[in-house]
Amino acid sequence: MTTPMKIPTIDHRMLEESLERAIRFADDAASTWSALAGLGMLGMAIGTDQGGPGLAFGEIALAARVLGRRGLGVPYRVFEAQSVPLLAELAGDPAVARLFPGVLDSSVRVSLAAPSATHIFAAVCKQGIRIDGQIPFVEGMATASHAIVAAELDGDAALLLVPSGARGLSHRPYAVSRGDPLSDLVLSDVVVPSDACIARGEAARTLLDGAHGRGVLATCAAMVGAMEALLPLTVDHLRTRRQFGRALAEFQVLQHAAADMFVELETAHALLDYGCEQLVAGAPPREGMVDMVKMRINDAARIVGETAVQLHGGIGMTMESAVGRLFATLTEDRNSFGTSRACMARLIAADRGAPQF
Amino acid sequence: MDKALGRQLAEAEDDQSFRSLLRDVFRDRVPPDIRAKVSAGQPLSKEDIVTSQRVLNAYGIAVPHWPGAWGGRGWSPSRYSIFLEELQFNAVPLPLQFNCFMIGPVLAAFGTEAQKHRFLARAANADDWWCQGFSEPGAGSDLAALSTRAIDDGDSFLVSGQKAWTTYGQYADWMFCLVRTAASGNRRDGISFVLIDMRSQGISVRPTITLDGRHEVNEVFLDGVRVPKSNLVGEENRGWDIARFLLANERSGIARIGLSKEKMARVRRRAVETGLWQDPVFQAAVLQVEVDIKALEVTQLRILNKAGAQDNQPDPASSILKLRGSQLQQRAAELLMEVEGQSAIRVFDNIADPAVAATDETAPAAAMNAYLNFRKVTIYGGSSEIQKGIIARTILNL
Repeated sequence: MTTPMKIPTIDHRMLEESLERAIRFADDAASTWSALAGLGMLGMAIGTDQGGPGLAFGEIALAARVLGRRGLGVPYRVFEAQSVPLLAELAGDPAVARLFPGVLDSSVRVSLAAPSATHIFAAVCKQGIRIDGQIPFVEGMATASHAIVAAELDGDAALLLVPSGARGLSHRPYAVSRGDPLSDLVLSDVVVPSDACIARGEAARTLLDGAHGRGVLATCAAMVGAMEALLPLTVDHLRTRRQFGRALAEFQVLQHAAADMFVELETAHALLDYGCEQLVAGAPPREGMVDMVKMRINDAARIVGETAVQLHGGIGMTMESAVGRLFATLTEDRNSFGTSRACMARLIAADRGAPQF
Repeated sequence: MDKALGRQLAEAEDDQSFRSLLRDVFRDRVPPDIRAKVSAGQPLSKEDIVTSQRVLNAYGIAVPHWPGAWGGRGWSPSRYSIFLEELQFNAVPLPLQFNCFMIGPVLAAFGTEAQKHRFLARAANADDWWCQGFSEPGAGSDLAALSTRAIDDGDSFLVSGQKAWTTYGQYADWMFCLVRTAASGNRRDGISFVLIDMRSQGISVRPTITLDGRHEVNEVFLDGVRVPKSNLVGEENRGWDIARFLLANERSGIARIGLSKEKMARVRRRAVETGLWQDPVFQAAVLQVEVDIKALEVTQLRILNKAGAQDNQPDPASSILKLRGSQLQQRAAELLMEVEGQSAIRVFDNIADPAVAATDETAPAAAMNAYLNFRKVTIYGGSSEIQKGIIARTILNL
């Protein structure tokens, strides 16, 4: 590596502070969304020529990290990190561009339903395009106005823009730790106009791959945010909690455990920065680098999360504690957008034995 | 020495050509038999190390981090990183640590002009071989507990005591030494930093043979050794400040990421040769270490860029690099040994006499020796536990 890593610019620090202030009292998707709208921080990837902030992925990742400190990574991940940049690349399509004002004022929120195997079948019909199928684990459907659905249309990949109120579209939400549910999305004879097909073939696959890579890194960003919150909570706990006539902070083994947390957090943060830089520089979003970053941040998340709970004692096990909730969220993120085993399997499959360095 | 190459290296504009010119020096100018020994994990002779350092010094890159007046190059952190990486990756012996990373910076920062003129250029060229007289049997991690005494005798000190773990003391011409010049209430306030000629009367060096069967470290016994007061560095009884400076310097640049990368390249080659590469469990173990090396590399760059402006005060986060870098070296050494399997078991010529140990220097046996030898890296330079304590205290304020 010959290029020095960028240290945060003044703009990033200001952005971080503004976000922190704005979301101080947010505790769910709705209040998060109004906070972000109030700050003008929606539709970050929409270009300035389209009336948007025209920000890059680095800023989106920063926002994901700040939200992650409060366990608010979802549905920011799907709306802002995955869907909006995808739509921004299709700004030339009027069917897409007309959504932008709504994205900017938070009335339009676009989810992404892209199953790993093709489960959605679409066919041209008299009224436009008919869509059928089911997709599990879709993010953001509780508040989404639209979903980008990846389907097989005439034997080829296609991206279809579907309003969430479309007849025949339903979703079964299930609660997860962070409070914003995932859903099983069901499309039963849903009909959309032909211009709802916003991408086909290779273009559709490329857009989906890009969205996937951003999804992985936005997840990593939220994880780093959660770890950033867990460390000071733990250090404070060690300083204030007294047992055996002294503060926990006086016990060396606990000092060392906290030091381990710090080292893992620094490592995770450096990897996040590296991953974002590489992605923006054009690294293939479904290959080695992304898997490597996710896998190692998963490790950090395991150590930081487990240690935080351990050092908090019983309290860390409760649903009502910030520590407990952050750990549960972190654990879900470990298992989203790349489990360690899946990442390692892909790294092994791609490896032919030649030196890596 | 190739003057043209030396000039090109000094004037290299971008990192790419810089890296390439370094490789030219390392691959064409450092004798290949020396590099082969480093690559195979075999021990180097004194002559090997001196020869290699003199090549680097001839090209002006033995002490790039020193002040410009004494041979420094003023490289940016990223360029310096490239230098270390290429050095280690091309199996070039590291410049003698005690000369280049310890006494050199100390004298540059705290020495008198006379001391600088007398010692610095000779240290850069390995004309003097320096060793470190810090630890004692009763003073390891708790260095301030040292008790080697220096008694005032007019224009010199008389030094008596015992130093331990003195690396390459058997080759040394000079020793920089922490001695107790005052037995005041505060242990740290009575320590002085002196330079001792290893040919002085009253010095004896006794080998300590380590698990790898090698003579790398020594005990040094000092019995009324006369040390001129002109060999005192800094103020009397203010030696602890110099020690802290030196130890912090020792900690930086100690991640040795290039070294771990070089080991992993060897692991892969051997694993393909032996067929172990077909085992996905082994592959996963290799990939895990390589991922962790990459992670440390990006962490190091981020730390280097944050630290930037603070001279003489390494970021406490350099403890991260020492802590993790040393652990990675050990894991890489372990994989290198695993690849050899049972062949790594060494044959001792004379098992009853450990001083004649491990003469089997074939690659498999060298791998086990390296594994055993590398257990030291988490102990020296501030043990892992000390580094964690530093992080807890100075970064987390626990």
